[in-house]
Formats: sequence, C-alpha cells, structure tokens
Amino acid sequence: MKNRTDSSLSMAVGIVLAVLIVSSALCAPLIAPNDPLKVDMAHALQKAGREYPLGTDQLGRCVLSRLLYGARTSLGAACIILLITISIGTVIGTVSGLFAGKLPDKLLTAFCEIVLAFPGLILALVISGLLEPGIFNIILALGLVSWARYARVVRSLVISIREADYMKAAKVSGTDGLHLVSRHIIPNISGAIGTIVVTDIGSTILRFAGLSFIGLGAQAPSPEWGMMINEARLYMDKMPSLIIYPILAVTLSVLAFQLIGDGLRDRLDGMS
Amino acid sequence: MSGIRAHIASNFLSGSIVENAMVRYILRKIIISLLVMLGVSILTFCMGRLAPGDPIDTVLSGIQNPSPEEIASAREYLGLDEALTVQYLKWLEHVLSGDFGHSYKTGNPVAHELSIRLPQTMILAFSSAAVMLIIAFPLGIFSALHHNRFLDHAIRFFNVIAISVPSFCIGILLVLVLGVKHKFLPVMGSGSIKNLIMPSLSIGIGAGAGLARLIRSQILTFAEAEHVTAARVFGVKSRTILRNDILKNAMPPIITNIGLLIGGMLGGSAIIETLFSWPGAGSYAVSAIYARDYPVIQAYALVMSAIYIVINILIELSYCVAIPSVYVLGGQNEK
Repeated sequence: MKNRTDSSLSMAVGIVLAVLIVSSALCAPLIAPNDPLKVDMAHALQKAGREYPLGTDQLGRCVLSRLLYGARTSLGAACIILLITISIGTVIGTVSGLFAGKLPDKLLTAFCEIVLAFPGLILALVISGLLEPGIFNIILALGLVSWARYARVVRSLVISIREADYMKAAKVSGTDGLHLVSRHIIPNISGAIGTIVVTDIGSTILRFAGLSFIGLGAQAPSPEWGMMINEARLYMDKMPSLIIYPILAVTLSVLAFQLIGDGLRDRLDGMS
Repeated sequence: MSGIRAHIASNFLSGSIVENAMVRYILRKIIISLLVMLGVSILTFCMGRLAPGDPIDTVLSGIQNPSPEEIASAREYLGLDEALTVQYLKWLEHVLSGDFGHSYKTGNPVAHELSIRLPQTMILAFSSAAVMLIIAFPLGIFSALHHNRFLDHAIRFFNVIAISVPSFCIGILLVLVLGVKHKFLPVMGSGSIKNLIMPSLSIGIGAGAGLARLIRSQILTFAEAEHVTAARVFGVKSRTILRNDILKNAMPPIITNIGLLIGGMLGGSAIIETLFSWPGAGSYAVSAIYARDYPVIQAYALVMSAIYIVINILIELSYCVAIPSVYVLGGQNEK
C-alpha cells in the first residue's frame, strides 16, 4: 500500500538479524569460544583480547560466550511464554467464538475483561511473587498474563469465519465439532495469529529481560542478558563495555522481531 | 468509516440524542469497571490463598520453635480456619475500609506503608506521561505531514529503535552518560526535580516512540477520508484541516492508548524504581516479593489495578465530554 520497497528493506534487515540471533542461540555450544560458566578470577574484568573476544566479567567469565548462551535463555523463554499464551488464548477464544452471544461466551469474555484490567507487568510481578523468583516461574507468570488479548482476537476471527460458506458446508455435511475446529478454524486463523506472535516475540524478550534484571527471572550463575546487565552495573564506571554488550544484545533481538512484525502487518494491511 | 459517519452525524443530530447516548455510554463504562474491580478483588484474594508456603511461618519467623498455642493464635490472626467465602468477605470488608492487613515482615499496616509510597509512583508516572506526550505528538504529526520524505524516515527510524531498547536499558545508558561520566544528574534517590529527570526519561522515551507511531498511522488514515478531501477542495487551511477534521477523528484510539500506556507505566515503573532506588510502590512490591510478604503484594495488585481502571475511565470520560459526537457514536458503530 505504502512504500513497498521501504517496508521490504526493513523487514529484510529484521530477518537477517533474527537469523543471526536464532542461529547463535542454536549453535552456542559450537561457536562459543569458552565455557560461559567457567570462573577465572585471575582474568577478571579483562579487555577484549584473543582468548576472550569481548573481554571478561567480574568473575573472569567470557562475555561473548555468556552472550551467546544468553540468546538461548532469552529466545527459549520467549518461545515457551508465547506457546503458553497462544494455547490458552486460542482455546478460550475459539470456545468463546463458537458460543458467541451465549452464556459460555459471556462468562469467558467477562473473565478476559478482568484479566485485561490488570496491567500485565503487575500481574506478572504478583504471580512471580507468589511463586518465588526463578526462571520457570517467571516464564509461567508471563505466559499467564497476556493470553487475554489473543483470546479476544481469536474470538472475533472465529466469529467472522463462522458464517463463511465452507463452514456452513462442513456443518451441513455433518462434520463434528472437533474436526471443524482442527481442520477449518485453526488453519484459517493461524496467519493472523502468527503475525501477532512475531511482533510479540520482541516485547516478550524485553519483559523477560526486565524481570530478570530486577532479579525475579533467571538466577545466577546461568547466563541471561537482563541479569548480566544487572551484574555489570557495579562496574559501570570502570568498564562500561561490560554493560553495553548485553544491552545491545537485548535491543538487537527486540529490534529484529519488531521489524519483521511491522513488515508482516504492512503486508496483511495491503492485502485486505 | 465510523469517524466520518460520526462527523456527519454530529452536524445533523440534535443535542439531546447525543447527550442521552453519552449518559448511557458513561453508565455502562462505570458498571463494567465496578464488575471488573470485583473480579480483580476475587482474583487477588485467591492468589493470596493459593500462594505456596505457609504464611504462618512468615508471621512467626521471629520466634524459634513456636508452641502450638502460638501457631493457633497466628492461624486465628490470619483467619485461616474459616470457610473460603467467609474469609473473602471478611477480607473484602477490611479492604474496603482501607485496611490491607499488616506486613508480615515489618508488622506495620500495609495501607500506611503503601500510602507513603504511592504518591512517589504517581509523580513518576505522570512526569513520564508528560515526557511521552511531549515526544509523541510532535514526532507523530511531523512524521505524518512529511509522509515518505526524509523527516518521516528519520523519525520512524528513531521510533523503532526507541521501542526496541528496554526502558531500564535507556535508564542505564542515561546513567552512564549523564550520571557517571559527567556527574550531571544524581543516579539514585528522590526529593528533587533532578532526581525525577532520568527515571521519567527512561520510561517516557519508549512509550512516546510507540505512541508517535500510532499517531502517525491514525493521521495518515484520516487524511484520506472523504470529508478531509472535501475540506481541501473548499480551500480550508491545512492547519485547520489537521486540527478540526483529522486529529479530532483520529483521537479516540490514541486516547485509549494513552490510558493503557499510563497504566503500563504504573506497573512497569517497578523496574525503573528499583533501578533508580525511587521510593515508590513498585520498588516496595519488588522487595515484598523477595520477603514473601503477601499482604503487601496483594495490596499492591489491588491498588494498582484500581488506579489503572480509574485512570482509563477518566481519560475516556474526559474525551467523551469534550467531543461527545465522535466518541459516543464512534463507539456505538464499532458494535
């Protein structure tokens, strides 16, 4: 619709960045120059050199290796969080959409409204507070807070395709409910859901890093960007690079998925 | 479409119809909010009861090897022996009279502790909101006016970067440049305007960039509307068109988003408050999480969602009162 080449370019940049980040997460054990957990006090806070390409942290651990393994933690966490989110959102949204206007729909819609009334981060804070800080609990907390938005979208999508001719045909020919959902509804809404998911990968990485930063997520010594940023704060004046690298890592990953998401949305808008 | 219809409708409909619709709209909003608050309170209460770990241990943490009598009195103090519904109603009664119980950790009334810290969080949220608005409107409007020219590209580039840097990272970069290198601003604490600058910028920049994107796309959408073209044909000044025909109709989603963003700031400020040692409710809640101080966590969740809901409804209502035709009719057309 708008400037096509412009949006394609930024999407291409996003895809290249995302491929780099995902592959460094996948290949971390192969490409990391050192063990991310190996403490070596003799070489603490070293500048970039041959053995440690990005230098070492306060415990003499290799910063580059920790960043690479950190990509695993962040992306892995984001994937699980979004998987939880989509699963709950799709189930509730589909049920709600199929029963649109009836009691189950009204109850579920009301429940969604209540969950949406909680600012997401507060709810995540509260859940993680009740569950004890830790990486799995924060994943669970973040997974449980953002499904309501998906449920809303899925509900309206289901309602809009419920009246489609192929749905009527399927119903008339006696297709049972489960088959209807798995063969006709889910495949038809997956494109729209996928677009939101891609955009949300960025904000999920961002939230996860934020909660790890204040110590509620990943726990030492496992390598995680938000926690690395927090640990590096003490050495900010002596060695600013120590804090800059993980900040760059978070920013670039969020940027990558943001650009891809924007591009996908532009394309969908252009099609409709 | 709804905007155009509303625009035309506002010129033909008599005032009373609009007013009636408005009152109904406001009432509906308020009733929904009350129901939502009730739901929030049930959810919060359940979360407190579902929490793992025995709250009795926390209450008695000061006493070594507590006797059965001490445990029994602690159970009674916490009201753990009654039915869940009775517990909820009692709890709700206390909460409504402003009693959130006592902090497990310090023994002080939670309401008192929270009331000291809440104003700090509000100050931070509103100054962050100011930063956000100061950034968002000029950027969004300039970007749209220079659609697809250099300035538009530059602003959009800035926006997408600013959205991608987490707020606490913006905070750290600010500390690095203004606090550590040049000792220009204090890096922690509160009390003066200077203390407020870095935390507000950290929260406001990203939110402002996100809002600027929405403003831009909203303006561009309405710039193609028929009544705008008509106004152009009639030779209305472009500044007047922007104000009267485009911005007015483009505002409802923007306003709604501002409400959501301010709500997000109240919640998201927990991280920034912790970073800058800002003595607000967020950093208080974070330290309560470490101490497993459930009454504090519960009170925080309840109060913050109440504020969030109230802010959102106030913002919508203020707009509804300012330009009723667009809002009420626009809102109805969506249904």
